[in-house]
Amino acid sequence: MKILIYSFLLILTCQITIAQKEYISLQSEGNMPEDFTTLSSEQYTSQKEKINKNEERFDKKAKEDFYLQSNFQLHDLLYSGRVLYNDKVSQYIKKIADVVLKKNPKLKKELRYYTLKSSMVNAFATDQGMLFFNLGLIAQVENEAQLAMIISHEITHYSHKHAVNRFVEKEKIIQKKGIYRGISWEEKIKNMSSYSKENEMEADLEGFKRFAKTNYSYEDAKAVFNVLKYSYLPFDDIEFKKDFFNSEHFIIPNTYFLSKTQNIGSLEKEEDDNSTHPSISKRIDYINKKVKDKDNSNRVSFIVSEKKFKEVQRIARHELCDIYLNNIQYEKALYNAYLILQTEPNDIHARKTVMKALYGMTKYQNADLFYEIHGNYEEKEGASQSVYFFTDTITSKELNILSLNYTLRLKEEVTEDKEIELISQDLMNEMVLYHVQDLDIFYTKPQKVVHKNDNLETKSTELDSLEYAQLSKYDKIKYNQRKKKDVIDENLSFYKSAFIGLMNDDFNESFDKALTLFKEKDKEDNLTSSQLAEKRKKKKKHDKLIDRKGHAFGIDKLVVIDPSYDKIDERKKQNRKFESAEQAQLNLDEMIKDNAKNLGLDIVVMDDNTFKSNETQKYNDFIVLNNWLAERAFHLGNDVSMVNINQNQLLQIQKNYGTKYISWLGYTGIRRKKEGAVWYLCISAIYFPLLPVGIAYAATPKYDTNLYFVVFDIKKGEYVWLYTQQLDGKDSKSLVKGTLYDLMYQVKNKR
Amino acid sequence: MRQKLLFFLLITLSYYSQAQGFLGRKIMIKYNFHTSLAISNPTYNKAIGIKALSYQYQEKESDNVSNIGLNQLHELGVDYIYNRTHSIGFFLGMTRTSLDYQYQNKQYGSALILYNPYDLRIKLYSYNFEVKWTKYYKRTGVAGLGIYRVWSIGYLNNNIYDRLELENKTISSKLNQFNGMVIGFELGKQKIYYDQFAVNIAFCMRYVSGGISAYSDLDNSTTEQDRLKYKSKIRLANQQLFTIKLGVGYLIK
Repeated sequence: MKILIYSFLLILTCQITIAQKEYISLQSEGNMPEDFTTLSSEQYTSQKEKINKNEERFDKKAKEDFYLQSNFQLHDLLYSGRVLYNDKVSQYIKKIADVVLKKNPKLKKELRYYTLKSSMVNAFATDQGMLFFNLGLIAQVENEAQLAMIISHEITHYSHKHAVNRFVEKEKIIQKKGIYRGISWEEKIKNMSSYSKENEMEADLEGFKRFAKTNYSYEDAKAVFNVLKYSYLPFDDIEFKKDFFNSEHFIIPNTYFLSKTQNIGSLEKEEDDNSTHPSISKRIDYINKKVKDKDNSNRVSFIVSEKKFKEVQRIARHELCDIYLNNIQYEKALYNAYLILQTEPNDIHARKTVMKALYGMTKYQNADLFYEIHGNYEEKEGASQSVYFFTDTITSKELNILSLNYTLRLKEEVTEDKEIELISQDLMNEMVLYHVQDLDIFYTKPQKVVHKNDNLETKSTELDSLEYAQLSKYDKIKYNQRKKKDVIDENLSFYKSAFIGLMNDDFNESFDKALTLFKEKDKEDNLTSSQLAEKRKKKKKHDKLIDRKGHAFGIDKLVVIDPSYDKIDERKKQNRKFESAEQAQLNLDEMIKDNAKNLGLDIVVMDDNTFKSNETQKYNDFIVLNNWLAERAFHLGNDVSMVNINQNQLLQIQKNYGTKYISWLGYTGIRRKKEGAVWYLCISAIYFPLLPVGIAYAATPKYDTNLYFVVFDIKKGEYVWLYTQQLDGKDSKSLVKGTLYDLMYQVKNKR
Repeated sequence: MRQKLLFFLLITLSYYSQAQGFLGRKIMIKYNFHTSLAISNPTYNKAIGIKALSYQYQEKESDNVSNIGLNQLHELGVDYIYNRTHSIGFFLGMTRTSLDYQYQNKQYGSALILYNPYDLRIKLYSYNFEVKWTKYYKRTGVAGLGIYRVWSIGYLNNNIYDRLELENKTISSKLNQFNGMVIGFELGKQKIYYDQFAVNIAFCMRYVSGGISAYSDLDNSTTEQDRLKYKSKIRLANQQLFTIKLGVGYLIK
């Protein structure tokens, strides 16, 4: 029996340990809310109907405009791949909100809470009753009470209709209506920010009143403003240890790190004239006055659950790693993961984040594009400054070797991880391609530096005090000069010890693979003139074939993500035609399906307008793929080919859908003013029979249709086909359907 | 027989094979209507012919008008889209037009009869068969849709008739005929509705061989037959030189 209990305990302990090590990405759960499954045009119509008919015409029109824009923009936000519903974080926030709204069941029923995958320390409410909480905020707040204060603040924005009122007021200011008649440009800006600040102060005041009705601590209501004040900093400020990357033999010189980092000072300007928010100090003073005489005894920081708060905060902090990586903010990701590792030293997710951050930086360093992603260390403050200094100081060769070293060490601990395997091979390829083609430069065992060109050639560099005392004056000088040189030499060649103990069979195999690639590329780069001519000839022939017959990718199944449709009328102030674009997007879905059926192409469409309430898993996949695309688009823009940060999740999606081909496509119909229309009119008037043609030409706008179509191979992480085209003419159904068929035919066709 | 089989096979294969072009459809049946303003030499669509010589004289004197008419050309054709931007095809065109003609000699028909100089209202019936090659611009769509240009070459057959309308019957007598070559160019735009119906509008130029030299040939001709031939050729060449085309088509898979 004892053995059984011990075994059970052992299994439990193992599971707990695994649970601590393995972080699973935050995902939406349950059924999809109506906010996601209702068309924006329907939301707009229902809200438009609620506008009071007795209101002034201008206000009514402004409100209609607001509901039109906000509903469609909100839909874009919901399907941006950054919003989660019913996840662990929003579930917890809802519980706190229930405490805040205990005596207000009507509001409680109206409000919906969503988590936003953003690193910004922020929360916001919409006029439709949706409250969004950024993970950046959750990662930084100190307790539940602070969250309660923020929730109370945001509820006030909703209940007082601040969003719509601010829009109407802004329109009045811009169009100089009513009391704003005749105001200058500067006054316009001032009035707009002033109105916005009034709203914020009102939300603070009313929010505090609501907060005061709970049993949460007043002190926390005050302290929440400090969170906002220092929101530009990471969630903690812990010295970045100089030996963080070191292993037994691989030691990075101290000179690569700052000996002292810049002190933290608030970056917030006290001047808030043109800001939408009042200055933090003003808000703190304001709340201080409110709290001053209040009794804080018996008030607490946690009502729902402290344990739950910590769990949710841990999730948020882990999520920040992915958010930073996804946003190509590798230095932030590195320091964020470093902070997590201070409390969870064996956390695999955090260590993989370090690996991915180093990998990303290596790729950009090698491509000479580091300036695209690097933050200037002089502008940073706090302990994280050291990370920026380090990445600023280290050379691309050293960084490549460090990244490979870190990845190989991680690979030894975490076996069977495809992501780590792919990244380590890519880092090896990078190292061979850009820096090292001969393994002999690396030490295979620990080295002592020996100098042979002086009298001390037989001795090791390190002398004990007795030996040192026995040296002559001149030898002492030589010894000291050499010792100084040794330090410099060691600094310059510290990377040579990077792979001591790591050069096993796998390492050699990986190096050989990389070397083969290097030789192929080298061969490619050094073709003779006749070979080049032959290559050019082949390319020309191939291009001609493509032009005539198109591509033939031979893809049988394709997942289409978020097919988009935009309609723009550049002649109008409100140039996005939301409603007709939504309808066109629905038609586009049908066209995709029709064409696929005709071509015998197996297709799955993930369209933001057609999700059903029970398609949460599909939505989670949609998020992963959309975030992947956002990251990929950045790399593509810089022509950097990288293993994706969510490669494991992508491999799972590939398995679920039975294809590795994912595509994104979109159309934009643009209507604009025709240039030179008057000239055509004049010329046609000279020769009168052409006048009707001239009038028709001048009276009709110019139409253009833009389209993009990208097909990715998510297994390789590379695009198979990237196609963009600007078509002359209106985005008629036949044009869209015809071009779409042509694209899909090329995807399906085999040659 | 082998050629017929091959043709049949080609059509069958193109019908069932995976296609390029608009929604994979690559055969289009078309009807085109060409028109051009005939300001200097109006076209009378309805044949008038001569009724009586004396009457003709009177009519000519009293009805000395120059109406603005419209020349017409009708075409029936087939297009085959063989890749994303090109198609080949053929069409059969037909036009008929009237022409005032003044006899210089005193000969009419096969019989040698002496007349005073008189005017004839003759009728030209012209047929042309052409093959054409179309290129669709990728900037405006895929083959079958958008802006296109066409080069065509073909054979023209023209018959010159005199139609005499009497009270109880019409007498047609063929006066002459000639054959020639035509080369055409067309620039147009085609739209497609309901996935299968095509509508196009185009500006066309067509050169009838000998159309320019016919002016000098007319001056140098010594017989009425030649004069009639060259005058008809000029008439046809002018009529087809610049035309506006309106067409409808039906896309078959």
